[in-house]
Amino acid sequence: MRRFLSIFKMDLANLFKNPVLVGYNTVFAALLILVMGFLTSGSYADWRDAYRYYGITMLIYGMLNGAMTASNGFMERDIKRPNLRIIFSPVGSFPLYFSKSLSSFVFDYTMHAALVAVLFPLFGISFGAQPFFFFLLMVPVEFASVSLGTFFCCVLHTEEAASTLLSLVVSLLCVLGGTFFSLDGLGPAFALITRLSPTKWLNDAFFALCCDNSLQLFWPVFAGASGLAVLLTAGCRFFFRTEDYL
Amino acid sequence: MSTFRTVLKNDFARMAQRIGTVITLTIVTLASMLFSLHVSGTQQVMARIAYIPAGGAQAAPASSVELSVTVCEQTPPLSDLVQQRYDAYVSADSNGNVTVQTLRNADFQKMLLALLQNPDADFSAYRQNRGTGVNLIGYMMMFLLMLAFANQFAFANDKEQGQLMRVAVSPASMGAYLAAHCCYSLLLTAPEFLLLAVLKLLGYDIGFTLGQFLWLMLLLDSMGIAFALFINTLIRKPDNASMLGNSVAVLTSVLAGSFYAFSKNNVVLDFIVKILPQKQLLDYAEAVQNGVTTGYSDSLAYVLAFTVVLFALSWVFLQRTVHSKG
Repeated sequence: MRRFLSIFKMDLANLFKNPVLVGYNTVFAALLILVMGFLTSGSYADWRDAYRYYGITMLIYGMLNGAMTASNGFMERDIKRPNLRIIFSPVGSFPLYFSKSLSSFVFDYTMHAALVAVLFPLFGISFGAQPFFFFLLMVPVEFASVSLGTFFCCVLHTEEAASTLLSLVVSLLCVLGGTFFSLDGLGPAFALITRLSPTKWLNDAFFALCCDNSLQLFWPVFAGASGLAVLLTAGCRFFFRTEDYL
Repeated sequence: MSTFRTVLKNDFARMAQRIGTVITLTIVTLASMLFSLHVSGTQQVMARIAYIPAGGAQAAPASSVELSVTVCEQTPPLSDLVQQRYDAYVSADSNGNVTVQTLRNADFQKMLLALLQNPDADFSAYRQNRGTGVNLIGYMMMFLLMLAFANQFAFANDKEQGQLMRVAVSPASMGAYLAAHCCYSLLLTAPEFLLLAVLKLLGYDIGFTLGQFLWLMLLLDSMGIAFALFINTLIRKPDNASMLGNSVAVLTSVLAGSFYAFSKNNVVLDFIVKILPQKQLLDYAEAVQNGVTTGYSDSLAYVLAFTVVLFALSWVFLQRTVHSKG
């Protein structure tokens, strides 16, 4: 455990010391919400409704993009070589990739929780009757997405390939899930496609929490994301090969 | 000339390790272009409403080309309204009084009430249609800028790894070296142009002639390349530079109205949007589409000036870096 902790502390420090990752998860995310909200606020009776839509969908976009934090923290050029030395130490390989997942999770969750804690009250966006559930639901979602990032790294072995594929998958799911604009208005075919995107299920769960105070979708999404996180972490164990680093 | 040819060949040789990124971005760009054609081609309904009879005997309003009606037993949750699954909830009591619940603005409410009275009322004046060609350019814009950034990887890596110093002290011409990188970047937008050519051949309406598209894409790409060079000369690490560059490209393109055209009637914010070169390029494209280029030479001049200034600044900074360390 002590061995794991020392790797974990190092990984966490690396993430917080990376100005690009910090900026991307705070300033850029906030700017996206402000720009999109501002652009669409004209078509609402109350301008805050525009920020409510983009505050939540862009938070989900940011959480799914957390996969890129993991792939960056795992396979960046400066980090990949030191990882090789851990493999040769008696620690074993599990702490290596699990500490990347865990540190990325702590980093992303801190950033995003701080982001919504500042922005939501500022724009009068409600967390629902019980804000606790809102922040609780963020946990498995963040964890599933960083596990996805680590998993892609284990399978593809390079940051370049993993990040490219991840950003494509995440962007596609988000466009189809209605993150940037609702697809329901584009005809029945698109309305069906949008129902099939997992991003849409996340949107539904978070919007139900905020707008309807409904926990109906909370537990399915909570359980689904947790299950996915466990599966992906198990998948890392299966796909991680020491030889890939040599 | 031999520098130019060697560097260009070398760029293509180095593409192999980046092939995933190049293919991915190209596919996404092409998909976005096809999507824009689909959006321009289909007419969308003006309003999607959920009708709640609430025990009243009144018949539900009929769906039409402008109005889509879903009959619901119970009022759907508020979250469906916020997520824009429906634009409004309409219910009627037994006396025939209609209640409308919506988050949309007053113009929309007025239009909806008129539509409920007469589902076939003509509201084509409400639609903002900016034409297929401008739409295509708008949907390509963000991705072409990102592609231009990604394709400067060779320059960025050379700079980070110190190869640039070697180029600077060798008899090779720095101008030719940079020109080769730019040329490489321009050549990699061929798939987008080919798609337009194929669409044109298949008889689709793409709004512009191929020559006009070539000119507009050239303007857009030069802008993207100049921007990529500029950011890469300013920031040492390519990873950080590309993350910053892409973020700026995404934000400014969206703000310039590349996907939808917005008008805000706010002096300060309209001014901010106006100084974005992407907005000026879109204005110019719209002028070209409408056949009036006289009044819009300012927009063109702005875009060209923006590009030239960024190129010049990159050149100056680059000379300074190379000579201070060399």
